[in-house]
Amino acid sequence: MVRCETRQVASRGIVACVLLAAVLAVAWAPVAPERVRAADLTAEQILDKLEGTTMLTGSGSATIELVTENKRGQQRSNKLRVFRSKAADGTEKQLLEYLSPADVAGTKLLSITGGQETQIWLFMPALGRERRIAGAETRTKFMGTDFTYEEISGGSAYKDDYKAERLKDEDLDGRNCYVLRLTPTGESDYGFVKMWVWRDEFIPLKIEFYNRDGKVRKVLSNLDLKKSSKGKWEPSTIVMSDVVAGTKTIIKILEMSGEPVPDEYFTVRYLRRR
Amino acid sequence: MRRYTKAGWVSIGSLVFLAVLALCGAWTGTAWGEESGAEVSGEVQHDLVISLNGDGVVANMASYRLSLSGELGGAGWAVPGSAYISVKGEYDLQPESGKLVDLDEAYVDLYFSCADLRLGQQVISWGTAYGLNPTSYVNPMPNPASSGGAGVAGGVALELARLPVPAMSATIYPSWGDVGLVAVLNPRLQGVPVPGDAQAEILRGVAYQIAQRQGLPPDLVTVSAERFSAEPPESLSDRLEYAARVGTRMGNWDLYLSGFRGWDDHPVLWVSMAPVTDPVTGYLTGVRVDPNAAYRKVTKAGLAASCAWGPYTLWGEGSYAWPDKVPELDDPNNIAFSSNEPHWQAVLGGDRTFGDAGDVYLMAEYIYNSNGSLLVPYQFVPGKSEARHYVVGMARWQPAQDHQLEVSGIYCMNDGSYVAMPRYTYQLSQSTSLWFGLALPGGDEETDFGGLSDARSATLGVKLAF
Repeated sequence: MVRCETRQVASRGIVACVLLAAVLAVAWAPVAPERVRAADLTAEQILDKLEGTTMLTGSGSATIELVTENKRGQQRSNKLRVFRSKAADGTEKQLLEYLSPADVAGTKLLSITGGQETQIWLFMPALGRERRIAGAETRTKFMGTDFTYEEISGGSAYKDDYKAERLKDEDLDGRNCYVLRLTPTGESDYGFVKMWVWRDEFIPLKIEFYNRDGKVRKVLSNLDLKKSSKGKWEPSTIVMSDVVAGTKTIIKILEMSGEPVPDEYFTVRYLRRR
Repeated sequence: MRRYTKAGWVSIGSLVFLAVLALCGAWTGTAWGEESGAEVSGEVQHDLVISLNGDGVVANMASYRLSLSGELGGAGWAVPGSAYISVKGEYDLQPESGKLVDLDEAYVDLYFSCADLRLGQQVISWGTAYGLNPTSYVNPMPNPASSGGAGVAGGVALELARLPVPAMSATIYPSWGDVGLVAVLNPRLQGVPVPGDAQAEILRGVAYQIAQRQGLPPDLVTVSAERFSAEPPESLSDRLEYAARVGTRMGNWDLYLSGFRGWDDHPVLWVSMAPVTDPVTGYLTGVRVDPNAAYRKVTKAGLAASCAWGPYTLWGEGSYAWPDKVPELDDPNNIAFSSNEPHWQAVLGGDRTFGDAGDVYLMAEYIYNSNGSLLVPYQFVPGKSEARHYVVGMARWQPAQDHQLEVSGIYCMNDGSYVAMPRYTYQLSQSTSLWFGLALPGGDEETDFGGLSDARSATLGVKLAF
């Protein structure tokens, strides 16, 4: 029933909107990372660097493909255009527009986060009007994906919510990495998290999420790193695998721009435009 | 169960051809669209509805929608904008009827710095509630009687089916919100939402009552016509309708104040009586009953609000209507099925998701209608119309990526009647879905939804979106 589809799109929209943060977070380093090669950085210092590189402080846009894969290997793909802006006062604005598949193409989702509150509007072209959507709880797993808000909320969440401990450095796919063990300081679904951070760029290449019994539950990988025209290394594919469920979510970055997005994009007026 | 006629198979061939045509159009359109910026999209759907009362196949419906949209711009255009056109069609093989090509929406958007304009045949969707929007004044809903309780319980499905009208709409965006102004050039008037057979039956019943009241043999009371028919307004100035809405956002709240001056979608109905006398003797020889119908204008004002509260989305929407008075409705010599009384309608609701990935979704909505039944906007039983209260609910569970179970329904609190609609949907591929659903009305025959017991049915459907 269409009534139901509305909500599904809303959920998918919220998913994609938050995933945008993850994509942009890793892909856009607004300030070139400091080439710190000292081996004596503490785990917290590494997380600080991570925060500097993983949190988008400017504005930009991207076209991404969001693929979900079930345990039988069947995939569902959504193509999205995403815009993001962060103001000096900390207000974050995101606009997401579905490009495909056909049944949701033209659907837009606008979210504005200021302080603790997030306001979200969903616009469906078939319905012809916007609708408010309630935000999800941070530990809720989004429908159809293997991410939670917590997992993709950027480096700051790790810094704030986990106690970091540095392990022995390792090589991962030929790249020398800091290895961190992060133990949650508060309520969490995980016993601990293990993170591989590329020493040269402070990009987390791989994150393993462990159950309380010490078994790997999920693995996040930033793949296909390429050097942009501005000389920054950027992953063009992000994969989150749920080892227990056998499912996978893949984000492919098709286009990306760091150009500031006009503020009018983040308005109900723009939402309503075809 | 009926069998397909040869003509039916020919129609199937036509529909297949149409579907292929649509797909070819989509393919070529997409290819063309890549160069021109235009986009073609659409869907093809087939529904097979089988009666659970043993009446066999009651509908075997193929339908499609094809749309083309693109941006306006370049040297030839002074302002940015976009254009959109969509056509739709449907054909029911059981019985064989339908309309293969019907213009749906066709409009041009122009984006000025001070306002956005939309000109053409369009749907203007206002309100915050699901399904039934008391403040969405401009476009009429499809006749509720034709879709029955299933339509009402269908929520957004019904909302999406609003009928487009030729109109000019402008939306201005001051810093505090938005102001929408609408002028409708040619409203779509819906006529009497009661099937012709039922109208004739109602009139016969009225004639019988009059005969009893007058102490006449029933055969001396004659009905001049078997149906109510109303003439739509003729001149352009008469046809014009106006609507306005002011919207603002306050924290987590969206608030809209709106008004409307235009035509009621459905005409008012009454029957008048005239004595029939013998031209020679002048004695009363009978009574003639004349069914009358007339469209009238109505003024409406409404308020709509929605907010997000933690994991909940809440909404409320209501409108008050002042119909223009039709003197005949208050004439004690007439039997009126409509009223000159103002009336109002309100909807309150909320929804939320539970569990991982929004696996479980729940929605509940309360509907108040001071004018009586949602299905038939007339009062055929003598006496003052009784306000009706309804509860609409929906639950959805998605146990796996491609599987979805849902139950929706509507319950009339006045008489205990209901329609329940469970449904299972399987996503065959990214673009193709299959579903199986039931429509289960219940209640006594005289109740709102109990009278729809003939609509007890199972539906098997498939949809391809491109």
